[in-house]
Amino acid sequence: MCTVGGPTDIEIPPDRVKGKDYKCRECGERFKGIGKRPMCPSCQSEDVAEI
Amino acid sequence: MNEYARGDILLVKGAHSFLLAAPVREDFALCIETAGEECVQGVHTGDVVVVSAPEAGPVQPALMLLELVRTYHLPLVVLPKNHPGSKRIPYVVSVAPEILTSCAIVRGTHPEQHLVCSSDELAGLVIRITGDKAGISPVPAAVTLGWL
Repeated sequence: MCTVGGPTDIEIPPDRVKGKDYKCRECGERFKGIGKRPMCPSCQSEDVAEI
Repeated sequence: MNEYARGDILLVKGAHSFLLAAPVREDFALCIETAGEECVQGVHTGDVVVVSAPEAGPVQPALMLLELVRTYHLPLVVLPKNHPGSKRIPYVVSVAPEILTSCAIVRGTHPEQHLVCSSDELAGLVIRITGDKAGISPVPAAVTLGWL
């Protein structure tokens, strides 16, 4: 992810962000993950399932 | 001595630009906030954080930005396209297992994680962690390398 600034500025065309929807098996958090190893933003668990 | 320097941050300095690269020390979830949603990137030990300053400028803000991401895990906030503030923000951040610098992309327009915008003189470099430190390949003759 290339982002600009502090914290950041970026122009991301929404159709180019290929995030997938996940649910954390440990805390139940639902989130959109990107990358090969998604991680829960709430509990930092990698025990997540694509939904 | 710079208060943000820890000795493991690689400074790649060209004539008109520079970049910093440093290893990620712990796993964390990096949140990327856009106007419409939140994306979460899993960041892992051994990934590399790169801050690129395509038009140079002071190093200190780049160090701060690197640590805001690497150490403090602050979310990245994304401005919409053509936002008037875009032109005032000169530093670019990328986090991935391996990062390629490129001057052939429009700054801020590519969500691909393995690319970071750079100046022409620092384009074409592959940045990755070897051992516990960042390294680049190839090393252009016109750049200087240092550690912060």
